[in-house]
Amino acid sequence: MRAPRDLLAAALTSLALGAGAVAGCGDEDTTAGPGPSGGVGGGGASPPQAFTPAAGGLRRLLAHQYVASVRYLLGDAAAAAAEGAGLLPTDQPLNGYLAIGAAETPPSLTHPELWDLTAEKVAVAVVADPSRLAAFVPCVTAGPFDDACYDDLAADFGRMLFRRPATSEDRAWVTGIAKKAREWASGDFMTGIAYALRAMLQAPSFLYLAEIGEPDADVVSPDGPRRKLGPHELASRLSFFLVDATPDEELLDAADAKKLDEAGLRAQAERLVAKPEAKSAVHRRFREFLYLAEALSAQKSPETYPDFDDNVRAAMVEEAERLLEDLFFVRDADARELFTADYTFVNDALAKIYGVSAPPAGAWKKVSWPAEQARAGFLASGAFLARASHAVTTSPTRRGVFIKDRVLCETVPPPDPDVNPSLPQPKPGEPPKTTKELVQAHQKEQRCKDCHAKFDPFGFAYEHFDAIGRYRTTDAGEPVDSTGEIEGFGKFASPRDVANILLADEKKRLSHCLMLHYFRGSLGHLETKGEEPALEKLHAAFEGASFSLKELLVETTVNPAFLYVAEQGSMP
Amino acid sequence: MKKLVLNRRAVLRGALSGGAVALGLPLLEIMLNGNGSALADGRPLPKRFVSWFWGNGVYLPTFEPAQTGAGWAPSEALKPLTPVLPYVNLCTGLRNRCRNLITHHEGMCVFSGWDIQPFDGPKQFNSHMGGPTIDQLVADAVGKDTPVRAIHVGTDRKLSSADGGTTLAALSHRGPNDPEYPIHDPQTIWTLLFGKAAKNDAELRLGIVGAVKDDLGRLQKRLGALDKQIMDKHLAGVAELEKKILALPPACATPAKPTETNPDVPNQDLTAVEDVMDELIALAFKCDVTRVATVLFHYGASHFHFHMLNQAGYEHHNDNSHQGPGDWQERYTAVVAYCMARLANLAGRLLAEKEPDGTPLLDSTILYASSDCGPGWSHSLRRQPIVLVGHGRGGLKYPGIHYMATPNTNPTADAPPAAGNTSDVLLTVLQAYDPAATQVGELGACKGPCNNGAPGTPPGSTTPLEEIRGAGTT
Repeated sequence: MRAPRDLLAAALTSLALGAGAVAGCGDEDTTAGPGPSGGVGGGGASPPQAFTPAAGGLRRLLAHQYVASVRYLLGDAAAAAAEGAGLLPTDQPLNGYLAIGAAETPPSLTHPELWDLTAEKVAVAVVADPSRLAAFVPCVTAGPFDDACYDDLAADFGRMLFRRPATSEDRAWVTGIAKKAREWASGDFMTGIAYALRAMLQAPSFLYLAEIGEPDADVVSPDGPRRKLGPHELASRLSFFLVDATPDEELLDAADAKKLDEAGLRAQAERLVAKPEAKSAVHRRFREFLYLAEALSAQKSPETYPDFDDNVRAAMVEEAERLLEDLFFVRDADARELFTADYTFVNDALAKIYGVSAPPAGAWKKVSWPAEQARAGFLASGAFLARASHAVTTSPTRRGVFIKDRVLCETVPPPDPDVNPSLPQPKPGEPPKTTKELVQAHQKEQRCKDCHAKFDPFGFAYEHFDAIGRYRTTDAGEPVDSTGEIEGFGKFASPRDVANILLADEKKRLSHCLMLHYFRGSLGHLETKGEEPALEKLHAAFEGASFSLKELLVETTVNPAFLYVAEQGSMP
Repeated sequence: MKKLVLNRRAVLRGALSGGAVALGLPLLEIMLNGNGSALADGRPLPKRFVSWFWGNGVYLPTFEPAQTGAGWAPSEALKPLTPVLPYVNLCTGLRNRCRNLITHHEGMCVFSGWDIQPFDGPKQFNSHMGGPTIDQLVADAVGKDTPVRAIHVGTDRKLSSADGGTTLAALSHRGPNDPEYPIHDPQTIWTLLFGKAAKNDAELRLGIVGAVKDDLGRLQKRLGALDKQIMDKHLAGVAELEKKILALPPACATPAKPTETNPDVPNQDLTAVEDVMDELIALAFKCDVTRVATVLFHYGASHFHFHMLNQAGYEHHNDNSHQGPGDWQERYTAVVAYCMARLANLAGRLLAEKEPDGTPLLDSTILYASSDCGPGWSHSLRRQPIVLVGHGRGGLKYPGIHYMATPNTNPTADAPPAAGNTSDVLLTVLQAYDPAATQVGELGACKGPCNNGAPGTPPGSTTPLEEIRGAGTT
């Protein structure tokens, strides 16, 4: 749990605001302090300072991490049982990330029962096919089927499951449960295994990553000694960071042998990042970051967009997945191309929407964006343009907020209270207005303009693309005006312009922001002010590696922000 | 032969040795005292509670009935409640006095009387609920003796990614940053309420519970104060599991496992899912599996399109409640009426299910329903309505009344006139379950009388709304 920042910030906000509203669109983007992106990026406006790690503590495994760990440790049938039961608690995001929710929000009262029921299903599956378990505990299939085998389960499988050497206490309670169950089942050996597994799978030692560390006597900061994660904590952090699953045997062996110094960590990271599971983990991070789940269920007016169906929605998400795959795994390209690429992938349905040549039915192909449409990257694709639109019309606001929040990592405050945020609709008899005109009319009120001027114009650049991403030259019968300007960013009239400004940005906000999203969504906390020097160092490494995502991932694992934690509660 | 006395606690204690059934029995006549007014051991008859939420407020001109007091006639949006109208106490014209405003989130204070606590973060709309919600307070009073303390149900799955924090995502909160999130899958709800252990292995399972507690204890020694809070919550959940293991499965007729799983898909069938959830809640009440439920029917600021009302082309939040294109008033009214129909569906199921003495479960239940604002387009907390169905064994008036705190002289205004305090209703409801309760929500030192609407006055209440209070236990 990393909540001190949130709770403290909440308390401060509450105190400062008293009876007032939580609004205002001041210089919140560059405010130093415990808030998000508290100065990381932004051109180094803050004075240099010493690195102070974020608080350590517990993080619950996410449901998919639980399943992947069960798959590695107990086999596919066991993983299918865990997943198929549909009883694993649903993860809930905090600050936009499931990983932060799992670190900062307590479990629900029903979680323990759901973990118990899931563990029961897994145990049944393992008893039906113990072959994978036997890889760690050979006696479960080879015998002898005796007390010593229960102890092997506790010690050898316990080490794998708890991601650290099993203690004598672990061995006592695991074998105790196994023996009791065997007795209850009139001597049936495997019943003992089943109940022991059922217990082990709901033990907090499995369900939570503990990142607590030991005091690092070498470095004492004003907040007290920082804490260095131990080899087994590092092995777990590394494995869940890169492959979203429990450490494999090789990694645990390295931890046991205390071989996870910088060279050892780097070697393990390079090994893991080449695994297929690492690819899945990257896709999962970006699915969350880009709101692809929301794109998959986006709804449109059937009258206006009769062809926008499940196939189109699924194709738009697959298009994004194919772009991610191509950028990060086929080409190991500059990660910023996610938002600047001059190509995409289409099937026949998407080709029709984008106005490009179609591949044969059922096939996909890589295509260049048509030059006259000036599209660029994910922001010019359906999964963004459709999701960040309304049922009929586009939404320069939703599109602009995404760019401000997810591409630049700049905070967007909520609107003034009691303001009517509705776009003024034309009265009967009045000529229709373009979406841009409606948005601009809304900004006539100063208190709206203060904030909306900082993100709506981004959306204007995408006004050539309707609510499902088709290119258009008119809106409400008028020629589209896609020009916009944002102070501190620049003037633009197309997605391509926005992409070019992002690439030339002196503050390097795009690459900082990509790095921060991966960091937050993987390690389960918002970056802190104290982590800023370490993250600047990480960004320099990212840039030095031509913005290779793979290199960023490996470099993260040897960064001080990865290796150290602070005493919990010592946050500013 | 000794007379059978079903003392739940005694049976619970003996469950391991004797394997008897304790929790989860339907209320049998044998369990009542001579005149049926209490259990044989003197404990009160069960009372049930549901909080029920629909997002994005109401269109006041079609929602608030003109007529007040007893014998009121429902408005267009409230017509679907007609079959249970005698059970409805409607409160309008009140003001939700939450002070921290970020749109939608603050409306949820109507369920707690606590200010939301906004916090800094990358999300535009970020907050936690400041204190426990009413269902948790009621569960503290009535949830101890049932196998399941409370069940939290959700139907709509289209919470906007713009919303962060926990306030809008959960209807039930045990305290700050302690949400009890809704469960959207009817099969999971069924399992939690009616699932039966595959084997007679309670003792082994309790052994596992003990091992989990020990592991928690060892881990806790190494943790900071905040993680200890998380572990304490985990431990509280383990205690719930322990209670459940000790309670043998319900002995009454249980429903078949539903076929619906309620995935997040376009054109999600809210009606069917909600009907299944309603059946599970009604039968869980009848079997005394639980006495408290929350239903987060439709999220505030949700992206849901009410396709079943021929509104597939309109997102209710943006296109109806925010004065979108065309006849938004008509669409807005239709959606609110639909939500009231779904509320009436649950109330109807509770009316149809009977106690052993033939009285409907609705007589022992209060459904506390509200939204996240009054008029949706301004997110105003003025005239945020509360619909109460059922009287909780005389805690509320029966037949119900329409209480209007102040007339609506400007029904279409962004900030219409309002008076009173929605937390007064909360306190009246809480007292139906906990007669000793004297306050609800956030209170603090205030100059002059509390709840006078002065800026800075916390939104809690010490003054129940007497107008809707019932005659007492019936």
